[in-house]
Amino acid sequence: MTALHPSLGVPSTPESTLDSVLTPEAMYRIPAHRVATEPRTGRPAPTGHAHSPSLVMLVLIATVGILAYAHFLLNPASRGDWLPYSLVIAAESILIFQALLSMWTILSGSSDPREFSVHQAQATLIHTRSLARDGLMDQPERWPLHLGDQPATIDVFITTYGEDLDVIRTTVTAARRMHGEHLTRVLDDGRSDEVRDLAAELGVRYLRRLSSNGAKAGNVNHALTVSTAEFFVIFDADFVPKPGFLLETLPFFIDDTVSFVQTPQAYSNLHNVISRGAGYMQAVFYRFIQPGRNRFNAAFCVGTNVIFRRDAINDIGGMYTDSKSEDVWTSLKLHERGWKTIYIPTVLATGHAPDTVEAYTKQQLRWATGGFEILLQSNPLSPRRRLTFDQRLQYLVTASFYLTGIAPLLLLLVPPLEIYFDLRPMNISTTVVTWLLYYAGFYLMQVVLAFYTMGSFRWETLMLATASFPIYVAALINVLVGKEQHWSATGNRSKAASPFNFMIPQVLFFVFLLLTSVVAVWRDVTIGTLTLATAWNVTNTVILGTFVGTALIESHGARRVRALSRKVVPS
Amino acid sequence: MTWANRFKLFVGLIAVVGIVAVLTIVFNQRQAQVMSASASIQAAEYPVGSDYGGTVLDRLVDDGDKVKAGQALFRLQSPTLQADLAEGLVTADNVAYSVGDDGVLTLTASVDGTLTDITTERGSFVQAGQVLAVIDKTGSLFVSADFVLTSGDYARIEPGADVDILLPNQTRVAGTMDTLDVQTADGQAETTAKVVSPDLVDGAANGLMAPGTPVTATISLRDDGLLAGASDGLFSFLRTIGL
Repeated sequence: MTALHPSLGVPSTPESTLDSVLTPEAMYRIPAHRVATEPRTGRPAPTGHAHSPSLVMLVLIATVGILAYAHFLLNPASRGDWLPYSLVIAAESILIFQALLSMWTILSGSSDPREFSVHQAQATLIHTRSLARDGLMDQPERWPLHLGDQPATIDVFITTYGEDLDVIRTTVTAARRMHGEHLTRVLDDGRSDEVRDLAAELGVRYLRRLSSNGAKAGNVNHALTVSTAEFFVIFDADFVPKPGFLLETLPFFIDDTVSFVQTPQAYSNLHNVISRGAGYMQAVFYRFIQPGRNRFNAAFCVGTNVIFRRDAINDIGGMYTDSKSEDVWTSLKLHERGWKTIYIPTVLATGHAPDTVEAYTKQQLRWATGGFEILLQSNPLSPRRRLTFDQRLQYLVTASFYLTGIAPLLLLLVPPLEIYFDLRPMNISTTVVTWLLYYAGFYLMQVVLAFYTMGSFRWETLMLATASFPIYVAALINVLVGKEQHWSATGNRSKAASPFNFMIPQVLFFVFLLLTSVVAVWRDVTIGTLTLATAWNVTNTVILGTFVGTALIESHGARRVRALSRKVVPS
Repeated sequence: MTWANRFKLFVGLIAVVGIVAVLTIVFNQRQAQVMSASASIQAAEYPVGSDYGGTVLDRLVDDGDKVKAGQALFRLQSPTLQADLAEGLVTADNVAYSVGDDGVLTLTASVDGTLTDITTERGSFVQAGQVLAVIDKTGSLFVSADFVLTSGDYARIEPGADVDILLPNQTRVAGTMDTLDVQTADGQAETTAKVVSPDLVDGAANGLMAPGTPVTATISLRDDGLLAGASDGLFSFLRTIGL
C-alpha cells in the first residue's frame, strides 16, 4: 500500500472569459437599477451550474468504495497484530474522514454564488456614459467604479517581505493596470530602500512600518490605519493580478453582509517536479472544495488574491495577528460575527508555486502549523464558538487536513514491521485479492475521480504527499511545544541553498527503506515466495527515491547556476 | 549543504545503518526459530486398570490426589478372578494389584504421581481391560508441541536443539528437543515434538507446571543463513557480558 493523498489532481488553468463579458458597449445597453440589499439570512438557494450527473455518480461510487474499505478495515475478523493494525487504522481513519467530507463538500458545491443582484451590480459597475464624457475610455485603470449607485473606493495592498525586485515589479505593474479606479500601495515589511525606489519609479504608494509584529496581518492592519478606502485588496508580492480582478469581485459586495471575496491561487511556474506537485496538490481544494464551501458559508480567505470590505475587518478589530494562518483565523472571526464570505473559482491572479525543496518545505510548514494551531488551540466544535454546524464541520476539516500529511509516515512503517518482526496489519487468512479489492475501492476510485475531474492523475502529487511527512510532523511538534516559526518569502530565490538542508529526515528514511527492501528481497528468496510486504516496501522506496532524486537534480542545477554566476562576476 | 547539516546527515546515516543491522539480526534470529502452532505440558501417563472385569466395591482416592507407588486405589469384586485363582492361573500379587484372601482385587498405583481421569464410581461394573483412572507420573513432565514446518525448516531441526518454552505467565523455561514425529500434509510437515526440560517441576510457577497447561515452544533451527556467524557472535557476546 502506498501512502496516497486524497487530494490528487491538476491545477486550474488560467482562463478568462472576462474581457468578452465586460466590454463597455455591452454594459451601455443594460439599464442601471438600484438593487435591494437587505441582508439575507440562512443558506442561499441553489442556482444554476449543478454538477454533471456523471461526477455525482463517480463521487457516490467512490463514497461506497470508501465505506466498504472502512468496513473491511474495522471488521474484527480481518484484524491482525495490534501494532501495525493500529498504525493502519489511525492513518486510514484520517484519510477516510477527510475523503468522505471532501466528497460531501464537492457534492454540496453545485450552486453559483452569483445571484441576480450580483449580475445586476456588475452591469452597473461602470457608468459608460460618464466615461465617454470624461474621455477615460482608453484608461481603464482610472474608471470610477460604482456599487449600486454609490461610488466605491478601493485600495490594493501588495505585501512584500524580502522578495526579489523583479517579482515585485511584475506584480505592482499588473496591479496598477487593473481595471477600475484604485490606489495601489506597496506594504514593505522588508524595509528595503530598493523597494521604496521601485514604488516611486512605478508611481505607487510605499508604506513601511517600524515594527514587524503580527507579520503579514500586522502589515495590513498598519496599512488600514492610513488608508480610507471602503474596500481593500491583498496580493502577495508574487501574485500577478489580471486586469479584470476588481470588475469580477467587487459586485458581490452589493450584498451588505459579504465580508470578502476570495479568488483561487493559480500558478504560472509549473516547470519542475516540485512546483507541479505543489501546484496540483491544491487544485482540488481551489476547484472543488472552496466552491463547495460557499454553500455552507464557510469559504475562507487564503491571504492573497482577496478583496475585503473594510467595515467587516473593523467589526472584528482588524486582521487576526496571533497566528501563522492569519487568513483562516480572520475568516473564522468574520464567520463568528455572522459575515458572509464568497469564493469564486475564477482565476484572477497567478503566482509562483514553490519550485524548490526549500520553498516547498517552508510553505507547507507554515500552512500546516496554521492548521494545527486551529485544531489544538481553537477547537471548531467547541460550544464557545458561535458558528453554524456546517461551518464547524468545515473548519474541523480544514484544521485536521494536515493530519493527512502525517498518515504516510504511519503507513511507511507497516511493511518494515512485517519484514523484521513478522507483524501483519491484517489477518493472515485475508487473501491478497480480497485486500486489493477493498484497497482499490478506496484508492483506485480516488484516482479515477482525479482523472475525471482534472483530466489526469499526477504522480508528482503522490510523490510529494508521501515524502512530506517530516514537514507535517515538525509542524505538529512546533505547535505542541509552541516553537516560533520564521516566515520566508515563497518567491524569494536569491540565495539558493542545497535542498538537502531541508530533507535530512527524508534521506534517512529513504536509506532505511532501501536497506529494508534488500532484507525483504533476501527474506523472500529464502522463503521462496514474493510477499505483499516486499512489494509494498519497494514501492515506497521508489516513491521516496524519486523525491531524493528530484532534490539531487535541483541541487545539481543550483550548483551549475552558482558556477555560472562565479564566471560572470569577475572577482 | 551546511557543514552542520552534513554532520547531522552523516550521524543519521550511521544510526540508520545501525538500526537496520540490529533489526536484521533480530529478523535472522526469528528466521532461525520456529514457533509451535500449539503446545502443552504433558506427563507420562500410567493407566490404572485390571485384566478382570468386576464390580467396584470401593474407590479409595479422589481425582487430583497425589498417590505413592503401591497405594491402594480401587477395590473390585471379580468372579472371574476368583475362578482363575481357584484354577491357579494367576498369582495373588502383582505390581498393579493385589488380591486379598476374600478374593477382592485391590488396584494399586504403579508409580508416584497424580491421579486424574477417574471414570468409575463405587457400584459400577467395569470390563476387563477398562481404564479406571490415569496416574500422571511425578517428575515426568514434558512439552508436546505441534509445528507446521516447511521442508526447509524441517531439514534444519536437529535432535537436542534448544527449545524455549513460554508459560502462560511469561515464565521462560529452557528445554531440549527429544523426539520428533512427522506427518506430511499438503507439502507441509506437521510435526509433533517432545520437549524435555529438567526445569519442568510439578506444580511450580504457581501451579502452571502441570499437565494440560498450554505453552508456546520455540525451537532453534540450525542457522544456515548469511548472518549465522554474525548473530551467533553477537548473542554469545551479549551472554558473555551478562545481558
